[in-house]
Amino acid sequence: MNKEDFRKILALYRPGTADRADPGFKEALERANPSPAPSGRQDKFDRELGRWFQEHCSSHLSIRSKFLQIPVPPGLKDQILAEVRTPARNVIPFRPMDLLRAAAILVLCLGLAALFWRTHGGKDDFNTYRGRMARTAMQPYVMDLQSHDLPSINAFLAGRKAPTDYVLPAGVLKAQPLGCAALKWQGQPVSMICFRSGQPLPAGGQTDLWLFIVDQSSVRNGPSARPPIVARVSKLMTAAWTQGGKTYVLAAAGDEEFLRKYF
Amino acid sequence: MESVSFESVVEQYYEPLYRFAFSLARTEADACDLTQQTFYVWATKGHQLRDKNSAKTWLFTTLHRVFLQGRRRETRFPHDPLNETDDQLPFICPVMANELDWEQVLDALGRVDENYQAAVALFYLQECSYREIAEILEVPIGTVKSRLARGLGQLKKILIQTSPSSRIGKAQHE
Repeated sequence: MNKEDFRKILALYRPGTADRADPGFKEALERANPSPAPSGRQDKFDRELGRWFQEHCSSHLSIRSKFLQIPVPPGLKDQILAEVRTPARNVIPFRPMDLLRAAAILVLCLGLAALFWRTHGGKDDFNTYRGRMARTAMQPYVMDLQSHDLPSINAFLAGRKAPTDYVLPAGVLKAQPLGCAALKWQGQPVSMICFRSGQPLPAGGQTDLWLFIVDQSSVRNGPSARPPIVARVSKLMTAAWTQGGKTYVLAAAGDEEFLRKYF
Repeated sequence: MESVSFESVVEQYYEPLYRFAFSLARTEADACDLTQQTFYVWATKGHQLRDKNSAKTWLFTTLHRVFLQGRRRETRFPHDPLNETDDQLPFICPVMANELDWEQVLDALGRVDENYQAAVALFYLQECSYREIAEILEVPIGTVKSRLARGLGQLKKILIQTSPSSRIGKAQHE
């Protein structure tokens, strides 16, 4: 191999990592690093390659530091933990003492949970609900029923015991229904109705307006009746309100000005 | 062996996962979605993992898959394909590398062939060995190295072209 071959190999070398022990880099590293030659062996160090290698390592660490400067949004960890309400899962077996400790913690948690449920009636947090519904709209999904006819949509949702006694805002009535899905939130039925506003759609998209309806009692700390709470959730603008015992979340693939036309 | 709770997995990996997600998606909103979706999948399926040492690879692999699934649904903005790097190896001197900010580097990564971006991001984030990168990308190690060679070449070429105070250093033959 010539010097250029060694450079190509070392271009993939990352200083301060397990690459140092990778046999694929061994010979190239010997060429690029001065080291006392063992007795009977000629030193393979190449001075020019060594200079290049030092600069490569410096540049690599500098560029790597830029990746590490990518700011992580504050609160992301809490958001992740809040999204997942399942208990902590253990991925490997407990030791016996851990079992006893786990049993004690479980008893304590059950007691606290009983107190919590008694106080809060078993409802779940609105912010988590809103986030989950927005994520449902943004992830790949298939509508349970595709239809432009609202009565047909309501008949389908009624068959799935999802809410149908909702009141559509006047603006939403002007949008074209596309279909619906019967979802679940903490075991409670949620109606998702998809609309098309008539505005140009994102590439590959079919829907730019979603309405989620759930019984008010299913969501803790829900919004008040009016005015709607407007908030951006990831790529969607949302408006939320409560009316007639139902909590509504209207989500739109647009800005707030776009959304406000519909409520 | 010690038990691993969901919270400890989140604590240990959410920042490097987010940075990997951001390297791929390049918007905060999409990166948050990818990260949260990955941990949601972990919460539902991670208990099936018996070896806690595989958690890191599992998470990065899942995030990459979720990203690819989302990308297939979207129409990408067309970008001018870069010519393959010529035989000479682009070289960024340390001075120029120091002048860059993270946004310039991520912007340049976005202009690299999208088949190479994940490999380049994992290379620099340095959370993973080559074997782990191969597992995450679900390709052989040889493919990882060839994608890296091309991807790094493209990245450095873009950084050299866009840097106002660049000087081009090329591998010299004797």
